[in-house]
Amino acid sequence: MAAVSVRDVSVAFEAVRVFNGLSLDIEQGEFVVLLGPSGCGKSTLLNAIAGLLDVASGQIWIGGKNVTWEEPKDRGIAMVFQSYALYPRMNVRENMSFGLKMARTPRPEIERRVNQAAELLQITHLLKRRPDQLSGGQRQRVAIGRALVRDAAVFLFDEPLSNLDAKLRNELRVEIKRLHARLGKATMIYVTHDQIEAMTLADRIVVMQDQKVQQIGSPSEIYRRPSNRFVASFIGSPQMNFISGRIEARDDALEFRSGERRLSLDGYRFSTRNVAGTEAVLGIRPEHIQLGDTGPWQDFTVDIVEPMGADTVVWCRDGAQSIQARTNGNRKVARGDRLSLAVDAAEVSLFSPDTGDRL
Amino acid sequence: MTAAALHPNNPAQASAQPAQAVRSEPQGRRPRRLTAGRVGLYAFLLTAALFFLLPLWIMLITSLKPMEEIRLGNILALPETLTFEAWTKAWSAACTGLECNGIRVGFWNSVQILIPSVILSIAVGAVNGYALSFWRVRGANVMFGVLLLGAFIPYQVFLYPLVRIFSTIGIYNSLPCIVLVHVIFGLPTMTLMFRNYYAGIPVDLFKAARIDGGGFWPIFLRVMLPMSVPMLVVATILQVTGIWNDFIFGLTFAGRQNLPMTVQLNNIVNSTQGERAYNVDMAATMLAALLPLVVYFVSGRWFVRGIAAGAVKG
Repeated sequence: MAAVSVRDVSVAFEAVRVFNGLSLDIEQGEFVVLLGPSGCGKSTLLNAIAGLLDVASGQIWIGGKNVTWEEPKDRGIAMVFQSYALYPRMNVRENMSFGLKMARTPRPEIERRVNQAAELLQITHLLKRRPDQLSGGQRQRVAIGRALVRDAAVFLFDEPLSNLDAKLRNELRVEIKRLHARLGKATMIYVTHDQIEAMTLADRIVVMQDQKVQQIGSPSEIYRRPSNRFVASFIGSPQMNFISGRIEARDDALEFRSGERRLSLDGYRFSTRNVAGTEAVLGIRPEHIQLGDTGPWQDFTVDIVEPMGADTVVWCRDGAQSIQARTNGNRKVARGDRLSLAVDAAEVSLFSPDTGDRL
Repeated sequence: MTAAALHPNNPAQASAQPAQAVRSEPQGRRPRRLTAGRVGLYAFLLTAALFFLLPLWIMLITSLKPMEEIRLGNILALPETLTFEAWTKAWSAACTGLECNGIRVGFWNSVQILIPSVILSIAVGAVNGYALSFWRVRGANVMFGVLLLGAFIPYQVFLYPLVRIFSTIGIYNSLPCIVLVHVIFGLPTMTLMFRNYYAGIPVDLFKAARIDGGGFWPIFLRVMLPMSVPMLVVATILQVTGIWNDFIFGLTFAGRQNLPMTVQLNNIVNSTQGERAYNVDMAATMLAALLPLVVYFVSGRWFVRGIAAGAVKG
């Protein structure tokens, strides 16, 4: 039985209707990240699950119960917001206990749960402070604490780290992951536009664009076998390289050909049949390209070198075609160098130039 | 490089000091403090201030003079014999028509009208604004439009229909009647002000409160209202001064027993039997204006905000 089940849901957003029958099942204890660019509908979906937006059609089930028309408080959920959304006139303790007070929880029980959550998040020393006396990172810890005390089965995160600076974001990201591991059975649904958060946190990623689910899969599936060109380009930094060409049959085997450059597709698992002779776009991740003095693809010139510490990204150019390769940070490369490239054929992706779908 | 090279236009300053010292000072020509424009500006402001202060000043000194001095006609002259007789008479013995109990009757009437009217109109306005901003009420925009329209229609249009309605339901000429009128007519402005204030509060806060289990009232009372203190202050100032200064509603709806201070003042000033007691009239006027004056002096900054927020009020 799924912990959260979105069944054929559409949401009427003022005059526009979004998600034409979107369905999604989330298992208990799973960490699911909804990932996509701004306006892709990920927050709308989260708000619909929370009950903060009414659905126009379809159903939402949480914990084996149809909660489509339940109030948010009766859905067994807790939520953390990007803007922290702490009650400004209450101190931290009051913020964390507000929900329990509303539910008429006995006072000793409130005390116990607030203290426990505060200890877990190391905010015990902040309990008497007001939100305006806290830093951004502390505020978000308190907001997470407020969600924790509710003892919810499902935790919803709406871009919780987007307002924090890079260092704090990394710290809290790890902390959220640790929290999920420690809570064990808690289901988490996490909305973000940050692919690193998605990759590091998720058991499963739901990539969305234009109010549609583009792909659902584990981070490694999404990264290694993107189901279309949008997913391929949205995930991964530096971006995947795309090269236009066609697929040709040669000696009983298929190969990709772009101008004079060829790549054998022996190890490629096609998801469609009869691809020989069709146009295709080849996608190669920068780390699957080896730079060398000799190699199958010759005569590239180094355009730009971006040292990143552990690795270096090298932008190579051959006429109009520009390719980024990721190489070891120790390697000495300079602008203007002539290089050859070798592509790891087992790791490439092929897309249809018309539909963008994986071939 | 020397400072002289940096500032060829200002050799006097540059050559006198080493480069280090010059660099830390503000550079360039010092703006002149007193210009013709500035003088004109202050002259105008001073004139305007005098223009508005003069009546108050004349009222104050006239109220402190005995009638013999007033008869001499030097209205700007300071009182030669200072007397508070006119003030005590205005407060407790001036005649409003047939009764001669002074303006204090009106003062207590005004207080009785003011307190429930201010509290109720602000309460209703705040709840309205909250509902319109956060709860997606069906037809909220239409309702808000109608309310706004109400704010722009002149009061006089409503007087007769309201008199008919209130006498039909039997509360005409009573305290509840005048309070109700003030609440109704305060509603559009109060709603508008609170709606705009709540529109500035992040909607995430409301969502968090809903997930925490707050309903309509708990969220309003425990989350939104504590955040509304600045707006409550402004609304209170606006309503206190507005309702205290009201004349026409008091005259029309309050009934003889509850006539507010403004109406009593009018009766004192207009009931002429023999010589007009200018000092008593002035003292009575000062008494009637005292509360708004105090509110003004105590809460200057907030008062200006209240005026600005109430600029839509006709």
